[in-house]
Amino acid sequence: MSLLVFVIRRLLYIVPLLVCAVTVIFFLVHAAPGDPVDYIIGEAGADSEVVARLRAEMGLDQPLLVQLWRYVLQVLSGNLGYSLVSSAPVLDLILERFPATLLLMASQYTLSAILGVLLGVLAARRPNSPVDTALTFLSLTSFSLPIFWLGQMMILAFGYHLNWFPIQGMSNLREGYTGWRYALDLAHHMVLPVATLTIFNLGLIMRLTRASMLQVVGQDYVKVAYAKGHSERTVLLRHALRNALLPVVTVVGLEIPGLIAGAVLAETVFAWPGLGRLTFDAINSRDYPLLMGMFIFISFFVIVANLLVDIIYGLLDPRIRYQ
Amino acid sequence: MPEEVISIRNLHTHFRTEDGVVKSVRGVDLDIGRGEVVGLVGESGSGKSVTAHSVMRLIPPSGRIVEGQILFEGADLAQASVRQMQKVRGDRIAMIFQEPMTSLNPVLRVGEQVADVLRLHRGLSKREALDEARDLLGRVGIPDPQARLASFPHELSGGQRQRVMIATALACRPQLIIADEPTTALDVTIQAQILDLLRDLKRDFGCSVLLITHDLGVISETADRVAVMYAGQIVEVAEVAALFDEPMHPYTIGLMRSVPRLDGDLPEDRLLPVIGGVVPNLAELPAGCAFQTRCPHVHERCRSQEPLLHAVHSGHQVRCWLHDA
Repeated sequence: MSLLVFVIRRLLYIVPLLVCAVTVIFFLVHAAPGDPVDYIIGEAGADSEVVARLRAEMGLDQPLLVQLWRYVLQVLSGNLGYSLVSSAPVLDLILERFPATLLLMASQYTLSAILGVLLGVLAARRPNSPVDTALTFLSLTSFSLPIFWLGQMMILAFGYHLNWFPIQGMSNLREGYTGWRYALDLAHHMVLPVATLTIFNLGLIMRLTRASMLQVVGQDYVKVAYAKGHSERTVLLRHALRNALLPVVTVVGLEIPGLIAGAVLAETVFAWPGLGRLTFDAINSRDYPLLMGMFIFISFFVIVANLLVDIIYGLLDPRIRYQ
Repeated sequence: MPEEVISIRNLHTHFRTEDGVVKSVRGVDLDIGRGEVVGLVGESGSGKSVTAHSVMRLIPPSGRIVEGQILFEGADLAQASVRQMQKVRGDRIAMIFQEPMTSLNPVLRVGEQVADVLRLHRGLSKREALDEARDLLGRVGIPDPQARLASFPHELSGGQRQRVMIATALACRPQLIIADEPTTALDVTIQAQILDLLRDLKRDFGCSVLLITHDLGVISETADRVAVMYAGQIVEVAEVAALFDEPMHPYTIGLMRSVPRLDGDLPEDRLLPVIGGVVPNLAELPAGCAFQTRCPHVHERCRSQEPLLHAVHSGHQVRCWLHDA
């Protein structure tokens, strides 16, 4: 029951946290050089009367704090404003792109967590053995590679030269598949971007799991588990791993904002129609409302993700008390 | 002596380290009879823990049993396969460790941790194993055992955790329980309770106990026989009363003197006698007796020839040239 109370309380925290985030984002964007009116009017210029009218329409003639107050109220009511480029509501643009990003991130996250933890356990089983050395080399390489470079190399090797996978997009638009064929086509398109992101994230999770396992394996309760007659496999996976996962979950949770940055790069390289691409395009076209909407959405996402991490942590470790 | 449950014959366990090969156990011979409690005493680094871990084959990968036999239930555990050892551990030989605070897995429920040996070795269902675990927890004196099954280790005190460890060790009715400093980490009143419990259970369950400790008080209250270890060898073995009445090895005598006594007179300088010097480096042992550098009675023969363990009276053996017949 205490878990439910904890979750409800944490959900309530989202409101003040979001207000803080919106305030910071608002001032940051306002501190950036340039005036939105200039972008609307363009190079040609307009007389001062038109400029003044536009400023009044957009509320830019009001004091900054009044503007902030209005913006916060607007955001809290679920309205993130309208894109300067397409005039569509920002929230609609974001929600339209979100499933594509969620699919990509969830797939690569699940895959890199499972593979990273398994390889980490394998490396920790015999420290400094050839297997461990090879895995260490691999993990160091994998998280030292820049995503955009790795993505381009994957495209070059597996897309262009070997021609095994499509090199961009999310589906084959020309064929217009539906049903199972669509799902298969989507999976085919996902291989390269998911592989790229997985390779990048795998290394860190593997290193963390290895270090954490090595620490746990030295604990008395692991020796006790062996003394009870359990096999190495049972001891490592059932008795040691759950303890070793605690620091891994923490760090992996803290990595979530970085994940979104990674998504921007990967989505750009693979022309994946997700939030990363949307952000990248918004930056290029100076679409401030869209950009602010994106930042706020990402803040919201990070807050919710951290809540999830806290819940998982509590499920793994009974010593954590929700109060 | 009653029929032997386990016979350790000429056990040698060595460790590879950066300073060379450390000979932690150098030819230990020890028998434990059915229902007998044998105490193994010695200071840190004397090899008593390594001896115990060798029996369980739980020495770290840098260590190896290089020689000797561990005869138990018709098999030589020194040569047993990993699979054979897994069948012995927790079922035929159980172990209780020094640190009750860290010996229980913090993320698993207490009931689960006692029950899992029963599921592993007895093939009980989860339900049956938990019922049995509840009875065991009650047997070792844990109040409200049904409720405790669902507790996590951090909700228990140190003494209660050691009781849980004892319940786990008893679960499969082992032939032998190895207790490695079971009371060292507990405060004195809890220590006494745990020792009482061990004595009661030994009587009721009829298992043999190898009790490892550096505390002579614990030995005198609990053990039937004592083996004193020094630098990887047993230097003296005797019935508990005989050893306390008539210690023979200079090391044993030194150990007994260094225990403060309430009824004895204090020495002039009001300081406790100590055994001077330090334990020799087990990677570079001198020729002759290992105790020569610290022995008050050292003479020529000790520096050239290594003494052997031999019986002075029946059941009282010592490894010292002073008692050479």
